[in-house]
Amino acid sequence: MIGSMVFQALFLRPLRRGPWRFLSTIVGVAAGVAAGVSTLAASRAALASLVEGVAEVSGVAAWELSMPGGMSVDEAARQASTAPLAVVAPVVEDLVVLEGLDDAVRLLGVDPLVDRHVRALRVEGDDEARRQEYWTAFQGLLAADGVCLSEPLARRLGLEAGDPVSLVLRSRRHETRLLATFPVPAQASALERVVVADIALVQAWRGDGRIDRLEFVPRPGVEPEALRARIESLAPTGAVVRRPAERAARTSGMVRSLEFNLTSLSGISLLVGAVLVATTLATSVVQRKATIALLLSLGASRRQLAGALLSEAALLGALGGLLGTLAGAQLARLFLPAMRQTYATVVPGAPQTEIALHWTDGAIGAALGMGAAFLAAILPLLEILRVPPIQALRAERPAFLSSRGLRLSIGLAAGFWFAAIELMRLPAWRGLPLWALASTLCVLGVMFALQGPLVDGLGRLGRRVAWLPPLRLALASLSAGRRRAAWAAGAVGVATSLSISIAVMVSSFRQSVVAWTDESLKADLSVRPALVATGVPLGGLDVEVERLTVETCGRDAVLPYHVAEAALGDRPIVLAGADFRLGAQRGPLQLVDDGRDERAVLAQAHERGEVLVNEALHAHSGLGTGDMLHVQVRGRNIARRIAGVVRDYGDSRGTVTMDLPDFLAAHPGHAPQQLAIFLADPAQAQATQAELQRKLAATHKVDVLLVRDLRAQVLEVFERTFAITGALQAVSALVALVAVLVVLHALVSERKKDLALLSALGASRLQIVGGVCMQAALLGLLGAGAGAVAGLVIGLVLVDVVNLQSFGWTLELVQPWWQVASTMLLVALACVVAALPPARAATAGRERLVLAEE
Amino acid sequence: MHERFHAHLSVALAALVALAFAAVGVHPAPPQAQARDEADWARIQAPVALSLPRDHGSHPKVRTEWWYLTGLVRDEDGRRHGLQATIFRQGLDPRPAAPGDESLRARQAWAAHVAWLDVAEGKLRHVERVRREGLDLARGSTSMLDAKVDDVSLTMDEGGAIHVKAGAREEGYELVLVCSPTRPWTRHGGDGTSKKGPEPGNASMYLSATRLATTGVLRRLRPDGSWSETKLSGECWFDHEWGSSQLGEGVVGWDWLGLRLADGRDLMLYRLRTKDGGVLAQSSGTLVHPDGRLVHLSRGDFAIEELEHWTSPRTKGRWPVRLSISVPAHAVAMEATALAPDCELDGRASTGTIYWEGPVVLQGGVQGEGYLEVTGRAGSLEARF
Repeated sequence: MIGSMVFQALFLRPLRRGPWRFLSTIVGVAAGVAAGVSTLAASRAALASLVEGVAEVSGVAAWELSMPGGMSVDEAARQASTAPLAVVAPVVEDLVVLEGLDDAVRLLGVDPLVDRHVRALRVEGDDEARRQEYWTAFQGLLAADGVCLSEPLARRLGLEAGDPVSLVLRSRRHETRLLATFPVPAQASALERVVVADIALVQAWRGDGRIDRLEFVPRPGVEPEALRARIESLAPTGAVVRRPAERAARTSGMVRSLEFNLTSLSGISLLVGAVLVATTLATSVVQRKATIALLLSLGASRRQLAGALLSEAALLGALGGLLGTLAGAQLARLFLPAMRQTYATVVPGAPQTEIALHWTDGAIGAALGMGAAFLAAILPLLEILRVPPIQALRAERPAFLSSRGLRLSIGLAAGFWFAAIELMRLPAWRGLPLWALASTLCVLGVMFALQGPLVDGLGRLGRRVAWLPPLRLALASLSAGRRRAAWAAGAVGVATSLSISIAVMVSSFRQSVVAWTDESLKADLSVRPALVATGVPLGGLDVEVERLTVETCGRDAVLPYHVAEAALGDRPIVLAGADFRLGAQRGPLQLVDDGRDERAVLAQAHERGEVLVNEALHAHSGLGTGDMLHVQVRGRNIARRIAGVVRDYGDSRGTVTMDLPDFLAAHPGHAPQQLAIFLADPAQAQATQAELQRKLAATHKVDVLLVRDLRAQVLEVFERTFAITGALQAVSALVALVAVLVVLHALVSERKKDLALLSALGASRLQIVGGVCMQAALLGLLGAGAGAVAGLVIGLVLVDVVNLQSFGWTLELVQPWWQVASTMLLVALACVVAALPPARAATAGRERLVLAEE
Repeated sequence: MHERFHAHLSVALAALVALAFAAVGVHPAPPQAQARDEADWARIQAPVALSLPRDHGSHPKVRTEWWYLTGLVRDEDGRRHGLQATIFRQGLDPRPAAPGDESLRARQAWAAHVAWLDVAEGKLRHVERVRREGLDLARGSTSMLDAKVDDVSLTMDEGGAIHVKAGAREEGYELVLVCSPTRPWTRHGGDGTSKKGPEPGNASMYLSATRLATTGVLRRLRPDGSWSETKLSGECWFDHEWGSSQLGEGVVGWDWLGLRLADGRDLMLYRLRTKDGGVLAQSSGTLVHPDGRLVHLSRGDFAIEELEHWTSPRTKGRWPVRLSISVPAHAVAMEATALAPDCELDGRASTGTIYWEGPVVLQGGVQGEGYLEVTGRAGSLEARF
């Protein structure tokens, strides 16, 4: 009986009387959950294009053998003696752009004679009448006279069997024809975005005889581990035997830091949401202290009271979680292109994927919402358990923070600060900046711990501003609801700090990239593969492009840049080749802070056969200038001394740059990734650009860019890469605003008797509205001010610690002061706007009714 | 011989056809000329001087070639086993590789069929392999018999013995055999070439070792992954044929027999069946005497009559399992009876072809044993070419 009364009094009645507060809290939680779910779903879809496709495209292969740069036929042939244990299928795989589809799709070069043992590219059933046609199509595939596409892809491109197909592989256009289409096993299958061709055709298009991997399907009764051991015993130096899923894991590992950072970012929105729930619940408890005390006096147990509070938290969490999941799925669709672009900076050319909402997303959403709500319920719960039966019946009056409370708050802040400093110093955990991000949470903890004393300090100011009634009213109101005000200011602070820290990171990044591109891009023209939808160039150039460019501009005007795969231990890295001799004349590189002349370093590296490494490689291997570097290149171990460490914001995997002759010795006939052109007469740049475009347009899909266009393109890619962070910023700001709205409503509601009395005594409506708005502005400024300080500190951690641990790049720290100021102003203004509905409620002319109740 | 040649040719081609289903799909392009120019393949225009053992190896300039071992052996308990191990080579592109071209262009496709019949059990176990030449997974030496497709290999040692290694894990067994010819190699065809039709150049080279003393091991996979071994011994027949001929118009199938007679003679016969129920004039045979003397048999020299059939419950194919065979001029009259009726190899899911190949015993006149191959009794062959 009393339980039912508790539930009615503490849960159902307030819900009926103040549904807006309940609803706005749900919206706030939903926004936080939506940010989390959408980031996860978009991230998963973007990763799926890299990862799930790997497993599906690899079919039933148990193992695969691969090595950086691929295998020669002789190296692959060593595996012939595994034939009694497994079906061995050679594969070459690349990314192509199909005419009419400005995005990357997988090109799979297989041996059709054995591939049926590996992949599900087959048809169920039999059709006697069409065998002749099948035979013709199959002969065409085997004779390298065409390609096959999935049925959905062919439909999308409006292609039918026999139609010409135009595709671009490594910047060269190839005309072929569609031989046949194959059905895909399921919706959203990675096989949808696959072009199948004979292995020899792809090799011919690539201009090499390399095999990217051998796939092994064990014969019946063969122990997989025994097969692995056999493959390993025959593998050439530098080759890796792994399950296809391990390759997927490795690929996903390459974007793990990005994924982790983005998920952490979305987690902050959820944190703001949790603060909102805590604020709502705390407000709910304080508002109903009298009711709680009365119920306790009537015999209600504290367990029953706690149950009512937790029911409210659960409902808020569950509804917010559900709504957030649904909104998150929609947001994910908006986020996906940005997410793909972000990932494409690490793994270029990830094929397209669709957002598919999984049942686990709902569970994750609900769990996030409930988790945040229950976590937020802890403090209000403690408060409810502390309410004494009789004393609580007294009306709450403004109470200042006791000196013990002040010491406790400052001690807590100091503890958080110390923890933040210590965590920041810890190295990355498995390559992830876990501790550094934990330290940013501690910085937020400092900010939260100081909110109480700050609100208290503001309240004390109220005595000295008797000359300005609205301000005094606002300060008194803040002082009376100190805890809620502190929570709300904290929520605003978190959102502000997130915004400012991202601004610090992006500004620093942008400044560094601009400086780097200005320093690195000194050529008059640049020739590189055209960009695809993800905003990155796909593949490299064709040798013909280099030949035509050299023919047009002269040998010494063209500086080719080659890129291949290599391995440092078991870590894949990029091996680049550049002409150090020409580079020494042009100087297109930036050494990391060692004071030496770049040109002299390049000349020395050319003379001595040394290499350069980039910051990312230096960061993860610890190898620097003067150290010996041992890398596996196409099955060979190569040892070179490091001449210097260079800045390179284009790569986070680690790059070793060799002198071109050295590189080409290991990669004969290799085609460059891009060409830098230094004209004798820079005034001829546009004319040369036009001439090259004319010569290359018919046969190649390349961009011939003036240096200013290239710089603009680099920055455009940069902006797009960070687009998703802006979206997450907006979501958390929204949640913070909802928090302010909820708290102001609560505070106005608490002061309604005071406001009614003031109104009855002759206070104007303007004075009351001014008081409420000023209260909001103070709250906003307090939160924004504390958030700005925290944001600057967190920005510093992101730039100097998180970024370095994630990507290995050192950035020039930029404090965007105008952004800090404008963010604070905007937050305060937003808080004032959020205060208008509560202010309107405070002047709704019900003073007589309120006083009559009294 | 003509029929036999094309029987094997059909299997090799059909394997490629079937993989079109496996790898490509349901909506193929309209038929367009894909085949390489037939004229680019070398033809057997006139009797060719043989150089052994080099000519036991591969002849990649001709389009089609096969090495075909069949035999009837016994284990230590006296149980009889029928064996088949075959390697086919099908030329796809006669153009030689361009200098520096390291790609895996499909110039030659290789296939292998392995079959084992436990006569008492009456069950045929069959596997097949197909892949393009390259990566040392499919190859054939041009200087000696050394052919391989995945885990199936046929090699000849310096003493002339043929070594067979045939993996068939899918069916739970492996064969390791050593087959030593006990007679000189037989060259079929009246003038040293085996004619495929009336046109000049429509001929092949066809060699046989009609009797090979065979020993070896049948390894069987136990459920726990270990192997049991059964020793085998008996006699086999080995054919090697190469040429660039095409199947004659109107041919719907063929019957081939390779028989070892108890009186020491060996007999190869084939008849090429036509749509109208007739037999093509190029059908022929060879009678090998114990002293090595060869007698070429023309279409009119022998008769084959079907006495009994077995209908496959799976494919509804109606296969002859008891034949009356006579070569009147050489006092040969007998009945050949299949040791197991169900020797149908249904390869529709993988190779797209169905044929019957199994051991027979000779009774009712001359005694002996051998192998019978029949095609074109289930499904259409024409659609596959």
